Amino acid sequence: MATYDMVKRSGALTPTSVCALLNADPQRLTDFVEYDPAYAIKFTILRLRRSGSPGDGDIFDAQQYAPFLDVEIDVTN
Amino acid sequence: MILGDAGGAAAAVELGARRVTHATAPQVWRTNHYISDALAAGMGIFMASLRTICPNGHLGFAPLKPESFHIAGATRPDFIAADSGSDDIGPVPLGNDTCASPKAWQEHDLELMLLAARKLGVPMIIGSAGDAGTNSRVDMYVQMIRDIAARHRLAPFRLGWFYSEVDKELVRAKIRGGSPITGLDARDDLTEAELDATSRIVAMAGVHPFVKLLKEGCDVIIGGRSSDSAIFAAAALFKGYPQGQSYYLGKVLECASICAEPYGAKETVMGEITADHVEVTAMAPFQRCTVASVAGHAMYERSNPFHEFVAGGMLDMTHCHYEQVADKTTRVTGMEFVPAQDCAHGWPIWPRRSDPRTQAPTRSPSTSSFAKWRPTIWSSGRAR
Repeated sequence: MATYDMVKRSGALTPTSVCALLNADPQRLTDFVEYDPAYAIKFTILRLRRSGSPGDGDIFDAQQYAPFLDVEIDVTN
Repeated sequence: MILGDAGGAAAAVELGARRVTHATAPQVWRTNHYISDALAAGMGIFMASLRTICPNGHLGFAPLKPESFHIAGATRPDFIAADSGSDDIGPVPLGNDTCASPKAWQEHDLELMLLAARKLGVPMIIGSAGDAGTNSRVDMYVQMIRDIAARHRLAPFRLGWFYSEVDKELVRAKIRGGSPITGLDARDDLTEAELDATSRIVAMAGVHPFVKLLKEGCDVIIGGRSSDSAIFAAAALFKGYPQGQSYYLGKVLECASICAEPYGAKETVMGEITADHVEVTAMAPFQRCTVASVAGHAMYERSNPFHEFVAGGMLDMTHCHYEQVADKTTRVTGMEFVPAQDCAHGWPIWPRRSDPRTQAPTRSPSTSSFAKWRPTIWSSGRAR
């Protein structure tokens, strides 16, 4: 919970920043939610191709997190 | 109503073979077994609460854990239900009409569930039979139920099922008749060229065929491809509970112990519904349903934690309130169900988002109504 509050307060994750991190056109972002009951931030970006269609390399979109490993959170606030 | 034995394989099983093709015009069946909701209420069948257990979030994909299932069974639940389908398997089994799960694990779970349900004398409900929920997978599960019943010499019970495949020419006629097959989210409508290239169409059932089969008095229901939450919501709606609470019950139960912590799949959870709330309880000795684990589950398999779309409407969780009422139990209130607005010809028309390619995300307050459906930015569990 404390970690979630720190990340939320830092403003490191915003609709703009997550799109930039993923190199996604912001027009593809459909949802961005700071969800306190679960201590989580969730956002959704439209796929470029349908899940499981020819050429799709990530049916679950569960392999997109690597760029977030390098995000620095300002914990001084 | 077709009544008969099981071709000698399971003479103990009374078959109520019922084909429900939910994608065609609604059919009205009248049988001696029909009990209307009003009649049921007048007979005092309505209960102050109803309890449903779910032992597996994807029946067959990995076996259920017997210990927590038996603990749950000992509490004498009113329904035993599980979803056997999942997006996880990708589209190939749908097109190829195949399973993704091994038969041995499917039979393992069906056997444990059937034996428990018949021992308790409560209905057992399965949706999206055999991963894909195609017609052949339904037939396969029906045969498994017959075989298990015969093997254990179970007393007669009524078995019902429905199919979810839709004929391509029916869909073509709809497109040509000016009733487009609307794309979800920002996808395009179905074209005839894409229809021509399609090998199989497997529709997604809402609560309706399940409710019909429950009204027929079925003890065991094998469903074709279905919305996860509909499998559980149907039982609660059949017993007269409100739509919001019923669909939430389904939403929170459909993946079994994924809504509990610490993480451990394939453990049984129990949902108890009243006219006001849903309480969800972990059955595994090592797990609890907490505010965070239950609320967190709302984020799973959907674009945002507030909206769950099913055939016929949307479960709105925007104003849900979560409360830890016991060590292993979290109570949820404030859920609402918004029926689909446009129901031409009995076909629910799904809400369509504004195409984000032409509309920038906005931080302005957003509502949950279909008419204003648009890219949504929320904070702190509600619109701002």
